[in-house]
Amino acid sequence: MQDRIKVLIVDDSLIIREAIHKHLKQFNIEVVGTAEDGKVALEMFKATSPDIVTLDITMPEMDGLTVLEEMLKIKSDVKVMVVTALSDKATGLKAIKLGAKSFLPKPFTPDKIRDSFQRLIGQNL
Amino acid sequence: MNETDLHFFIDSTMNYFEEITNQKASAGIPYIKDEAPVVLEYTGIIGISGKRKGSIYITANEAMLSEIANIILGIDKLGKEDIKDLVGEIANTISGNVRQAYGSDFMISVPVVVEGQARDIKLPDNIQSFVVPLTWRDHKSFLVVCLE
Amino acid sequence: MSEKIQTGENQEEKHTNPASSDHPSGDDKSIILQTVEEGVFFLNSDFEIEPEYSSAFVDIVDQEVNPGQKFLDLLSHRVPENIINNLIEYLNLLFREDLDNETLDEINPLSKVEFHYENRWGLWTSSKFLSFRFRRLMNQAKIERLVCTVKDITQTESLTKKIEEIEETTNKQMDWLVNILRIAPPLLKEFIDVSETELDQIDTELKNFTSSNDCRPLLNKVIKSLHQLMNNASLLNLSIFSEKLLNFENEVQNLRDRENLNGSDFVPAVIQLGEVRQMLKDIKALMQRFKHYSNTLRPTRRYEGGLLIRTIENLVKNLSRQLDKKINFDAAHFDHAIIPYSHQQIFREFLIILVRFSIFYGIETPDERKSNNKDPVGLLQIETFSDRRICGFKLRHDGRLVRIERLLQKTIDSVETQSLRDHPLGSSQLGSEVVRLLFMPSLATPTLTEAEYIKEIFGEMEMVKKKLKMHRGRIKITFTSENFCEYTISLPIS
Repeated sequence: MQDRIKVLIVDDSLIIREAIHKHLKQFNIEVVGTAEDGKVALEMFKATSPDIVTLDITMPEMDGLTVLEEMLKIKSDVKVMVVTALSDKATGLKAIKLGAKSFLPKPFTPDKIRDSFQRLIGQNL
Repeated sequence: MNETDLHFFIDSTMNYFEEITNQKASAGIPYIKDEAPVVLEYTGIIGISGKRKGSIYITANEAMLSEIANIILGIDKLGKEDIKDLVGEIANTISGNVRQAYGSDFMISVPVVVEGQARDIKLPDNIQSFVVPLTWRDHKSFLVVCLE
Repeated sequence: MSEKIQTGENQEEKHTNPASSDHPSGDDKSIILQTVEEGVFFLNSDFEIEPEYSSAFVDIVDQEVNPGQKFLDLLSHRVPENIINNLIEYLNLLFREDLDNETLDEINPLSKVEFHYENRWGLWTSSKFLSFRFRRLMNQAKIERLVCTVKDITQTESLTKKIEEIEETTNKQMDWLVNILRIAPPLLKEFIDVSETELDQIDTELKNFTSSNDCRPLLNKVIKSLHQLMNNASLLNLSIFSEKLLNFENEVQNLRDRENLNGSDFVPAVIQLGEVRQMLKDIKALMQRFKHYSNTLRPTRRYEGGLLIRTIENLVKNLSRQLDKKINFDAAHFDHAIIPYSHQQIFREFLIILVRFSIFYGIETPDERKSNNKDPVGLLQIETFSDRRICGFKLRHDGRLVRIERLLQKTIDSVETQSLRDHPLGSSQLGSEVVRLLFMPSLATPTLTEAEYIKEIFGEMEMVKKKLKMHRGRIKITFTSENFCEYTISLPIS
């Protein structure tokens, strides 16, 4: 049996964290943690070494782009899906340039997040 | 337009005078432009587009422009074309500052120079325009800012 | 081949020869590019435009396109710099195989962009909204080049923008309507007219001010005007307007507290003035739309009279609350109908000023009244009167005329009224002297903590005097020093 994909969900909104968890249930995943700010996210990342991270940009303590950079330093092959209310193209470009593999603006529908995730895991893991 | 914008345009213009002529200009109390024309003998206009739209222009008389040219170039009497060049240059410099500060969200047109006080400079009706009276030495000129 | 296509003779051949229909030939491609309505072009890995592109592409960008030209040059001075900077990043990302099309679509900086068209002097003449899309063409599993399309989406964008603007305007207007619909149109119209006049006046004063003068008197004048407008707004409960005026006043107050002002320092105040004037203009435009409605349903005189009484009642209530006083207001003998229409505005102004003056300066607090063996609840009455020649109103209260002992002390101390010391006034002379002094703010202003407010009230009394003179009216004040004061204001009817 294929190993479950380890996912870390990072967003300062509880509702969004729950929604992402719910919408991704159909995939063979294990949610190894949820974090509401950048600092906690990094600690969890180090502890759990997830395969995929869903990451918000505007968060307290540490903004998402800084967190993204730090995560990639720790584990360069992690796949990060930036999920953010900052839907301007410049932020998305920056995130992808830094190494994120996917960009999903909020508000997102269940189908949209599932499609994004599907494409992400469809890539060589 | 907010107060930061208007401050910025005023400061850019003041800086220009001070840097180019080593003499400060002073800004009078700004006021909201009404139907009365605000045009002197030569006017340099720049258009702004992009995230916000509008126009800025600076209007002055030949006497002041000649004195400025004298300081910059040591020329006593300026030809018409040189005067137009100068007013365009002033507008260009202000626009350069605008580009630098507001830069990437804005597009700045090349300056257009209008000669004569025949009619008022056409500005968008739906945006409030602010007039800033300027005094350099004893010369009066105006900076007019119209920005969304 | 093109002949076959044109005549359609060899359609069957085309269909039975699948290999030839998989990839269009050069000629087919050319025809497609000539016919298709979308702008289509190709970019190589150096982001240069390749020789094949659709004629629609040239039409849409409305400029000469040269094969080999850099795509970024085409956009230079047509779209903002930040978009061009983002585009450079984006085009590089398009050549990365690890990124999928959907993700790249999300971050496409040209998905919707305002594209400006210039004339030969570099002046913008117009703009359109364009949408560029990019797809990758693979060759042996490597990204070789990009196929790009551009569409004119101006109509859709304009419509969307218009809808957004309409929504925003509608919401703003709904907020205003909630505030203004409950106000009688004549009152609102008067408020707007007075406000416009005052604000125009302020603008003119600023325009004509020469910086060699001390600007404090100008600023004081502006604040005085604003106070009047704020009072009017609060009488009508126009909170949207009061708030805007308050912001304006705060900026002017900031200026007044500073030294060595220059023109630039006035910027925040002027911006606020602009916003207030714009709001007035918008409300006026809104009222125009309701003009017919208001003309058809113009309130009766009795209704208008009722509104005036309610206005005064509100004023009494609010001031009493602010000053911790208890006041009974009696308007049983006030008949609005006997006041000619031409005098109504001025009577209303006088009433408001005198009520404020009486409550602030005349009627004491409950404790003060108790210690003077008076009913803790004060009484304020208004009534109208008229005959063939004149009409007017009386306002009476059972407080003191004014803090009369202080006023008198100041009077006695002043050089102008030196004679008082030598020749004590009889009570009627005292009465007229007090009336005279009431309209001399410079003498009457005491050194109290509420000096500003008092200055303003005495300023208003000065205005009453001026306006009465203008309308050939009269004022009479009857009082005792302790518990009675009656103002009688009359104007000739003609």
